[in-house]
Amino acid sequence: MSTTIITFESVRMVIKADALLRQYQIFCKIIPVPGHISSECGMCIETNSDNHELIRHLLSKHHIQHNINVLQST
Amino acid sequence: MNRYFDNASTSFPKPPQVASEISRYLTEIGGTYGRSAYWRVYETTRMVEACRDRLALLLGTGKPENISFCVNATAAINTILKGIRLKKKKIFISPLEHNAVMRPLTMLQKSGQVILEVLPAHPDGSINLEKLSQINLTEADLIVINHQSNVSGVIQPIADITKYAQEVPVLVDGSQSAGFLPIKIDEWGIDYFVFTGHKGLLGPTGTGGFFVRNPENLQTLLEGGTGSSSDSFEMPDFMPDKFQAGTPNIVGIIGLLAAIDNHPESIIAHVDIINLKNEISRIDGYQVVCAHHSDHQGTLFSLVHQTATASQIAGELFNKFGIEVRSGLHCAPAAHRFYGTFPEGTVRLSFSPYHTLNDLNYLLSALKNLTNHI
Ligand SMILES: Cc1ncc(COP(=O)(O)O)c(C=O)c1O
Repeated sequence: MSTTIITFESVRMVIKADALLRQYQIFCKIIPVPGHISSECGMCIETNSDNHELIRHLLSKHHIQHNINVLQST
Repeated sequence: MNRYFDNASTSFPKPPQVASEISRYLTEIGGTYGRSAYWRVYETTRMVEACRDRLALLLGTGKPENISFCVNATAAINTILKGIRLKKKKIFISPLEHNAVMRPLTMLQKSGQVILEVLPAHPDGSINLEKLSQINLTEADLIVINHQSNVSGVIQPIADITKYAQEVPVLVDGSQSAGFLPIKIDEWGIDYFVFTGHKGLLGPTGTGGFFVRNPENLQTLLEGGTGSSSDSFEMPDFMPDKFQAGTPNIVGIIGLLAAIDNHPESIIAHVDIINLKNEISRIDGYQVVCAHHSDHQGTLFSLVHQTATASQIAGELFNKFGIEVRSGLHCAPAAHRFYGTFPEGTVRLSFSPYHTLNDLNYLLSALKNLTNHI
């Protein structure tokens, strides 16, 4: 199992990304940034979608700078 | 009957949703901006960002992230004037600038950082474009223009001024234009645009801000926590966080969002204000301070009386008719010097989208009545 954490520079970008990904039925949960991920702002998006290509494409197309982190759980 | 004609000071009434949304935030939502990830914070942050987006749409820019919130236009103007790099040490200003511009500029002038030069203008205060074209504007760091004069209501030709300015950045003080007049930041090529939330935008006091086209050219005035880049002692250099030190006025911004979303269509038309102005100028004793062309006339104008002082007129209007207007210098001594109404000042009449023709007629008949008895 793995989860995807998307982090952003600013919370404005989190809000924009959340609205955008939901439009494409990509399940998003807003969570505090996990301690071991160094992130720029207090919130980030957790998603169970592993379609990283689509996420990257959508966010980039809308000029939303982001980082995709994959967390492996045992 | 609406007898409040001081909307250039602060607008009243507000759309009812301003109070109800503020109350909903205070009683049901709560939460800060962006510092955590639970629902209250998310909802609050979403509304603050929605307000930024609405403002961008209204002010005609495709870059909402380049809009920063401040407590008022004055704070926004100070941020810009003290944050730009003054290389050429010269700033051009219109003759009608408010003290929100004149006082910080005078500070900079006194400390030898800048020389001020007033742009050529027609007798009504509108910038003389023909003469402007003969001036070498490129020797300046900045051009500052009050979009709508808060004394006469003269609207400046911003699109023409930015054309002549070419590479020189233009700061437009939109305190009296945002919400009252159409604004096209991108199309007109405006570099800095300042707004206040509590006048034409019909929002609460304590809200305002600015648009900056090239944030990298502007240093911060305030530094502090942003909830982002928290591992660093330095301010983030990205927008909108760069100029957002400290918790923003969330209550106010949510009120401003409600105001923008529920801004009413004006009941009276532009021509009704022009007609009122013309009628007043025909009454014996009054002289109107306004634009010479009705196309350049905004949503306010001033008057003076041959014998009575501005404060006498304002006092009588309130005591006899319950009409509220502002008299004096309106924090704009530069404009009054230009119009020859310094130091007495004028009586200013400023309108709201909620005014009706009846309200204007009441004001007109009160002024007629006064001139016979004063
Ligand atoms: C032209 C102009 N600029 C700036 C300001 C300052 O606005 P605020 O008091 O909201 O900072 C005003 C308001 O009085 C104004 O009329």
